[in-house]
Amino acid sequence: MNELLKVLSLAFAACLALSSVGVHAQQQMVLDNVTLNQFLSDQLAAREGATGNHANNWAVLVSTSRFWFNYRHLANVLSMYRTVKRLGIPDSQIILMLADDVACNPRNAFPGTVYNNADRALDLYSNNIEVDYRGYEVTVDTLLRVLTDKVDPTTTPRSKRLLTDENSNIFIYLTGHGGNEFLKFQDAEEVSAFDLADAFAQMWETKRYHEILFMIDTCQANTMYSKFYSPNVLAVGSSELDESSYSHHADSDVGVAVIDRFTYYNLEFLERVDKGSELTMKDLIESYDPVKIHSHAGVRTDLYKRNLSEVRITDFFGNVQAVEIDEDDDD
Amino acid sequence: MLGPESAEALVLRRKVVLSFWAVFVILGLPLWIHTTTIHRAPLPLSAVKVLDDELKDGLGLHRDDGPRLRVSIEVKESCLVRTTTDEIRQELERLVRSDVASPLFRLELVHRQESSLPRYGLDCIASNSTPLPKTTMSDGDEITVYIPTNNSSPGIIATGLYDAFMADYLFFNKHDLGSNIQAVSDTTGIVSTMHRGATYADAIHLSFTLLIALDSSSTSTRTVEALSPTFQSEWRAHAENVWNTLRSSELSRYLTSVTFDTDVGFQYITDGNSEWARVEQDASPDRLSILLDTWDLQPVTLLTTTPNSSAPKVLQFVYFLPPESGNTKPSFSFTIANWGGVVIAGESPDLVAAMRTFKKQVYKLMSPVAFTVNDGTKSRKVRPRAHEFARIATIMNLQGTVETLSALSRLVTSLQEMAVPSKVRELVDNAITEWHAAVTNIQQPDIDTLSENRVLRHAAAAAHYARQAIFDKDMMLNMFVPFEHKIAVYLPLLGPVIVPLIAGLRRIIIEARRKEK
Repeated sequence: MNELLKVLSLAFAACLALSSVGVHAQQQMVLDNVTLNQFLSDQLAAREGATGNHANNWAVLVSTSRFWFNYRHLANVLSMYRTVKRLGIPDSQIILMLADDVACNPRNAFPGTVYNNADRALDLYSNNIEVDYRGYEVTVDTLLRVLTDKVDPTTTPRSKRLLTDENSNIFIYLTGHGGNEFLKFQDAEEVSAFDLADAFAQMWETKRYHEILFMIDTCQANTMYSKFYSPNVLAVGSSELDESSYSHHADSDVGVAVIDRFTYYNLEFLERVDKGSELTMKDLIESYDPVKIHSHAGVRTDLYKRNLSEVRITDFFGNVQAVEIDEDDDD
Repeated sequence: MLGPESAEALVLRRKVVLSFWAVFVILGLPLWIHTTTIHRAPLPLSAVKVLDDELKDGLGLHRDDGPRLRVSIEVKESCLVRTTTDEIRQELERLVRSDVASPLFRLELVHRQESSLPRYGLDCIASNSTPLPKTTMSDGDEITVYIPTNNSSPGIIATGLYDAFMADYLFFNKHDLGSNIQAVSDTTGIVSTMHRGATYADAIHLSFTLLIALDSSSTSTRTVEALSPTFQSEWRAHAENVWNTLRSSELSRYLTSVTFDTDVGFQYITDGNSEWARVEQDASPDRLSILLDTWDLQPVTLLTTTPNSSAPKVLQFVYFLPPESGNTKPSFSFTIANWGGVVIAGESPDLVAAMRTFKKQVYKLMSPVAFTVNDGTKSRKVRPRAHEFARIATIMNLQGTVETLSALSRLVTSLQEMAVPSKVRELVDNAITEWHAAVTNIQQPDIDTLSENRVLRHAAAAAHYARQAIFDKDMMLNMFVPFEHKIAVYLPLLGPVIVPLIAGLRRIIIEARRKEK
């Protein structure tokens, strides 16, 4: 018995030692500012600063939740989907990923509909929505493959691929349940901030974006962009570390919350934006009120070279096509 | 209390403990290492670096004894101090060195006094151009263009690129002094112009769409005519004619195949506030882009990324018949790089004119910009010939290959958790082999005759393999697992096994020591 106790004590001490080694290794993985700036400079130098021109817009909209009680997450994504479509991004340039188990849910008092407001003025589910990945297709692996385009080109249709290039501005919106540097996918798995950061790094190296606007509405959302290290990424989150994000209101007839606060106030701002709007990202960021949102929305700009007051909302939420008028040729 | 252990029981216990350890060490550990180690095939990173160096050195194409084209830039007043001019010169030279066609020509600024070399036709362009704003070059500066070819006449490529570069950034742009360096540092104009073409130059699919707007006056003569089967079969016949012309043109030396399809679509306009009506009133480039949104025609990017390597690149060509009511604008057209072209009919639809425009748009979309030649009496636009833009496409493919392989090297080096399948190694090796084959051929003296197609094929293959390698679907990053999660998984799994094993082994060792004493 004494020997067994001794062995157990040794094992316990070994575990403590291993844990401290692991924690120390993780701390070292965080890039300090100096290292990060140097890395960014090296990245840009490797591409000789050529990051293309903004010539087209894409959107990746993901609801990582399923089940009826996460109705609001689906409504969040569909609201953003409607907004970007209204501002000009065509379906062919939108990747929409959601569990899609709400509209036709037996609990839905209004079958075939999804509302983001208790007044039920706008049905988000009608009118020509194209869901690219639904149900159990919405996985971490799928998301990362879509972002990095590591899909089987012979079996994956074009409509389900993010066909971006170095001239593409991408709006990436994630919503669901999250925590400290992780985001839960359909109650089955998690994607970590490191995974997303490395995916963006791959996108940068393979020239798959010009600029990215990363927006996330989850609990402790701001931690999800803390590990990014690729250039030209502008990140916005709904809540700080150890903060929750909250729903805005519930619909008593639907029976669940129908929209989250952070997304609600984003939409309130975006409803004022049309295709020719001069409103900027600075205006959007300044519109965030912690009193209304009930959390502290954050923004990360150190990876983003442009001044937010010069970045139009439509640079990410709208669509741009570079057009050249043909001249008369003397061929 | 149990009695003392018998000798047989002691031997049995030792055998059991040692057997478990044998299984653990000989079978368990290797199996665990094998199944948890990330397979990373070694990539020839040093060979990739060699390709990069060869490209920067110009692929052996620079020849100092080649013809030089000297151009004067006239300014009305001297402006910048010499140091600033030197900075501009260095920046220009750096830009040109990094340009995709740098092995084909070289741009160098020299002082006007060094005028011993003969001048060519580019002089006319410079002297007849709008004088430089005073905040750009100093009065004594000239630009010399080197063309390392065996041709006795100046290469048209250099002229076109020079024109595109200089016209856009030095002659016609007015910049403040403070932004001047930045202005000439912006290579996106020339790079994006060159990237307008189909980089891989393998196969092109042309999609012609006749789009008819239907409004309340859909019984108008023009709409009725457009809806008639006769008109639509005429449309298809004209589109096929364009396709046949392109197939039999010198473009065929540049491509492996050109296919096409035609379609007829309808855009329904419900009220006067429709997007179409607004576009008609204000046909500025910003508004024109809205047309594509409402049509939702699948825009396909053809730039450095080829999404599906087995499918041809698609160029869309749309002939739009707007509502006849109130339409008094003449026909006009526009192109979108790497997407296609649009022709909007005027008062009288003219299919022949539209097809002529489409043909020009195809050339425009697949080749560098046309350049202006001024022979003293008039200026005219000339497009590079097929073999010339085949050379440019070759260089672009080679550069794309190096960039892609370098990016792959950086990713594999920085992301240690990324699996690298053996297939990726094979693809990289194939890319390097094709690269060398292309470079060997491009250095041949008969590059400008039939052989440039072979060169282009090798270069396109190299770029294709490189892209397949970097986008290999099995080259995925292992998911990040927090260390505490690993402890949480391994501890309950291994603990109940390892603790008795250690205890058993420890007891055997203690007994052995006691026996020795």
